[in-house]
Amino acid sequence: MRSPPLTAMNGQAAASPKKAGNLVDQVEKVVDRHLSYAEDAYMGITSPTTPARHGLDTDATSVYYALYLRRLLSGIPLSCHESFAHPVACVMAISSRNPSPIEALRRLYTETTQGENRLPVWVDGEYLRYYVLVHDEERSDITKSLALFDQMKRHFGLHCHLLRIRSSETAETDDDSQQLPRSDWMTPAEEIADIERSDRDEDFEDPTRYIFGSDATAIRTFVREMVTQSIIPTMERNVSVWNDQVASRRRGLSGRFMSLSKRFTFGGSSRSSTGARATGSTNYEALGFYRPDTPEAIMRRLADFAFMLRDWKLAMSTYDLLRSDFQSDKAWKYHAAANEMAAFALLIMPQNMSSKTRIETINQMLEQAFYSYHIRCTSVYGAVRCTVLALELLRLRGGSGIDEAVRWGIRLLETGLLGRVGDALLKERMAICYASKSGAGSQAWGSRRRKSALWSVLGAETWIAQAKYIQAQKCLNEARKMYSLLPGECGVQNFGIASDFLAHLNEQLREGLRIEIPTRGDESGDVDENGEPELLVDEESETLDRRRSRRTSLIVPGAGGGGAALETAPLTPLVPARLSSVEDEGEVTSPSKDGFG
Amino acid sequence: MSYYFAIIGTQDNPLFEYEFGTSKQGGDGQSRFSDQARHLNQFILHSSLDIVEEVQWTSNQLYLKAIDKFFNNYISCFITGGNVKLLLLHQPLNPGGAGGGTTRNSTSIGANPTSPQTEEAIKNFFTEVYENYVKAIMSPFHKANMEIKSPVFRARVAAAGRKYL
Repeated sequence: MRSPPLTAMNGQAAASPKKAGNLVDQVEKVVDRHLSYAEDAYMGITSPTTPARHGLDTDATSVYYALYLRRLLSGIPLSCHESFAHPVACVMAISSRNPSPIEALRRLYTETTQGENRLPVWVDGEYLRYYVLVHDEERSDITKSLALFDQMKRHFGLHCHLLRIRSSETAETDDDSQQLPRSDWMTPAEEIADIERSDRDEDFEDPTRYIFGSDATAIRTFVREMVTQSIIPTMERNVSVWNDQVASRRRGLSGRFMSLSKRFTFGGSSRSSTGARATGSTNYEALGFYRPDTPEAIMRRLADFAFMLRDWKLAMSTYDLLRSDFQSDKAWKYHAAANEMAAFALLIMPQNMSSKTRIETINQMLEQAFYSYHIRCTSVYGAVRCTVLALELLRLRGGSGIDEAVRWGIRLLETGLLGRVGDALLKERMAICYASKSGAGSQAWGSRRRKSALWSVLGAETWIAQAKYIQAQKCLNEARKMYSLLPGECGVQNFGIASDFLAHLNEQLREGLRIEIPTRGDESGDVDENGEPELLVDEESETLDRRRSRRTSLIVPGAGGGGAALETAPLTPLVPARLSSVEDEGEVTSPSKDGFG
Repeated sequence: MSYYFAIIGTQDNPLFEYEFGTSKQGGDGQSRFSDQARHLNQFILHSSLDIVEEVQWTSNQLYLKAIDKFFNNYISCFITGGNVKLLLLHQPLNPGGAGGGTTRNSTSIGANPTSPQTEEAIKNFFTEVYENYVKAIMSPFHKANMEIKSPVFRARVAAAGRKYL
């Protein structure tokens, strides 16, 4: 759940000057930067013989895949067809030194409802406003602040908070200081901007900031109180009200009848003549969105809220109603999103998935979502998000869900929507998917070790083509490990061409890890796509004894930390978590500019 | 349409490999795999053994039909009594295969890898190869899991390929 809406709106503001449609590219770029950074760091600090990776941990996601997912999800664009990036609450803060506090708050309020900082028309304006008075412990008088706070409560009701923090800057050496954590949910655009800024600045200063422990506690209390006492109760109330007033009516017999009559009586003419549309046969206007007060939009919000509050059943049933509505209105983006979320809700729901019909239903929904996103709306972001999340959720289901997961992965690879980093990461992920399928009996029949190894090899090939040798090595080690687990203990050794290819990959890897350092700068650019880096030095003595090399890589002691120590340190200055008021622009008026397009 | 046929022993070791193309519809019997695909074919075939091991218990037939798909590659399997697997990887020419097929293509065996005609053709191919295989391993010099090098056997597999695929 995203509590304050501001992160989303910040991201939107940062992304809007550029092409908003390339969100996936931005994610790609961020992860690529991190990868290159790790590669550089590795080249600088360790000798090429030591790196050994810890085993394939099927529970923990790989660092970079996790980063990829995280960035993909933190940049959910503000768009009309789903309300996850719509605000559920808005924090308005003034300091205790404000000369006219109540007026300032009123002005902030009006700014959110009208004027330039207003949200697009398809966003419901009735979200919660939370008023915060920031009291400066060092320079303000607490009695005055308390009086002001009382006054605020009288004017604005219960959704108020008095936040007491100190105004002086903290240094690392101070007694009570702690490091200000970096936001985990930066949008890709923000992170790119950060990285670029730190690259540009010649005089690199330490980006870490510090905060007083007492302040940190105060802020934590504030956030907890706001979430538990204001935001969640408000959302719950909204859910029950909307459910009573809109959804249950629609679910009832008369609602069904109404939607039927709507579809069949006026259905023929509604798309052709504007007159029919005006009389209310469809709420999907010529503009291409539903107004926030239409039943469809309210139900979508209801479903999203229920989803955020983890009422999967309500969410699922509401999404299911919406699916058919959107389809008959030919509102394809809405249709895709509703299908997507219905499938996710079904997948997350804890109970039985054993029956085959359930998997088929889910597949059908995902299919429709993917088709609507990809073909009808050409929304790369939507298609990628839908598939990647479906893959993860299906994987968690285990059993035949894993085969389905990989099928969706292949589907995504086939469409070529991902960039090369995403491609490689996805291949790596498929290997993990297959590895997490356990077989039965002593022979582990039904497991997918060979498949897993195949995907690891494919991943390694892709990484080597991008000169990301650390990742490639990791993949190859996984492949070796998987092959060694097989009953015969021999992987593809007996297949001539395949084992030659593996040896070739290994050789490239050695070369890459050893002599890559001087050419680092322009390397990633000029490696050609089919996986043939130019630097191949013939080394007779290095011919690979496959069996032995597998053994050694398996028993390298102390390798456990190897993978974990992978450099993922922030390459950029820290950005303090933003809790400012709605001063940023979240202005996207047309639904086509929302980054989904 | 290109085919890659392999007999896999009990230790995941290939006993026999043969690559060929279709001879139907005016095909010249040459395979059209790209050089990069050569090693991939072996990897794919090897990875399908996972599926074979799972599917072999669910059917009482020796012919398991198309068991696996990897992008545009389909794998059919025939399992023998001695746990030796006959695997055929087939790759339809037009990738995707969804629509766009001319009438000539749509009736050919290759165009639709999971159609009953194709399955029947592959079954015939497998049966003939299996008979030849049994005769080949009857040779007193043959040991279990030994590679089959007999040129006669190779010629017969080629003939079966020409005849059915």
